[in-house]
Amino acid sequence: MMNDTSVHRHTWDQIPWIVNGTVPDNEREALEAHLGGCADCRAELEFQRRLAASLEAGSVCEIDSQQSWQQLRARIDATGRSERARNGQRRSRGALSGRWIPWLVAAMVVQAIGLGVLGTVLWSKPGTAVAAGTSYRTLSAQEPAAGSATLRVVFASDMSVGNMQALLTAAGLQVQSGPSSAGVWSLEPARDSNRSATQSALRELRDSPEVRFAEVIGASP
Amino acid sequence: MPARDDRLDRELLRSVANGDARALEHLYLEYHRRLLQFLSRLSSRREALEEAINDTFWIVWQKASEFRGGSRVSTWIMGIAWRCAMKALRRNSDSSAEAFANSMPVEAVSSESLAGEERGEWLERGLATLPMEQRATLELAYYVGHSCEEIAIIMACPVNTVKARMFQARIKLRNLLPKLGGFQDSMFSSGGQL
Repeated sequence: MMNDTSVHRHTWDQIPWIVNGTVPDNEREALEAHLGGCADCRAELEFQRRLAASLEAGSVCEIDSQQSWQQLRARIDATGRSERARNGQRRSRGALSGRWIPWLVAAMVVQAIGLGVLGTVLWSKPGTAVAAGTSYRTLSAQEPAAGSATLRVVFASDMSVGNMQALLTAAGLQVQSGPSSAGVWSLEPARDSNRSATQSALRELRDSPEVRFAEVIGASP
Repeated sequence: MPARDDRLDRELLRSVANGDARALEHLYLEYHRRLLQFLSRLSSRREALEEAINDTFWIVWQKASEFRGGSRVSTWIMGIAWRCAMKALRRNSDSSAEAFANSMPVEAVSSESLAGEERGEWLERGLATLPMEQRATLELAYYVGHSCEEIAIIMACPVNTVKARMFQARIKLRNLLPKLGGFQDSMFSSGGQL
């Protein structure tokens, strides 16, 4: 049970919450009873009511809410686009580094074995260019060394197998031979070999930061 | 300011959690005014106010799915706004509250000096003498209409701290604004026992 002083103090403390209507219902009756007999608390209640009314009527700087919203909307849209792009890259990397990697490695091994076998056959066959020791060419040589290769490329030394395979797939290319002792790979079209496809594949290769050099075999320098 | 319908706010927030930007726009436009009023007590810089409001709703957009319903949506949003404002103040220590407060006179306003001034101006002067936490407490209670417990959630402090801040703000304003709203000095001559 509170004495008069503590009731007075409690009522005085509760005045702001009486003013804004959030005082608990179960306290309201006791507070009103005290207010009825206490001029000081009534004066304070009135003062706080006027203060609250003044705060509510106070002016704030005007900011166009629609214009501000458009700024936030642009931020949300921009982030949505970059997140979609990031997710796309993640999916792409995930596909390569996940379940596709073993298959790609296997394909590279099979390809290497095939090239080895082909090399052995060609070496043992009299009259071939390889056997005759006439295969040396510079990068600027005009004619392709082997029939179907359309592009020559040098990849960054630290490029991963996964990134290389992803780039070749994106460019519609596959390894025809390589790398040479100078690190040059000969590439051929994976799907079609027309000129425009070759040019677009060349652009694709040159756009990659992991490609040090790329050119069409037989093109003018 | 009338209290928000929390059921409506919860429905909007659920839609926001599902990625509905129109629901976010609705909430944004509904809350813009009250956030502006609240944050204006913490900073006088227009750019800082805009930034704090948009940062608040940026977080609402990202964290709507994490709202667990432990408070009213308005309490949750005002709490985010308070934290955004505090971060902005720490980032720009040369601006906002301190600069705002320092631009106002700190001495008590006498009855004579108040005679020809508008009520709003008295109030602004009085409020500017209060520490930022006390100003925010008054604003949340009187303009936004939050309870003591809700303000404790918003400002992430104990309920007793809110009570103490309100108490100190009242005492100071009472001494500084004797004629607020046409009050007579005699009303306070008895000393107003506590």
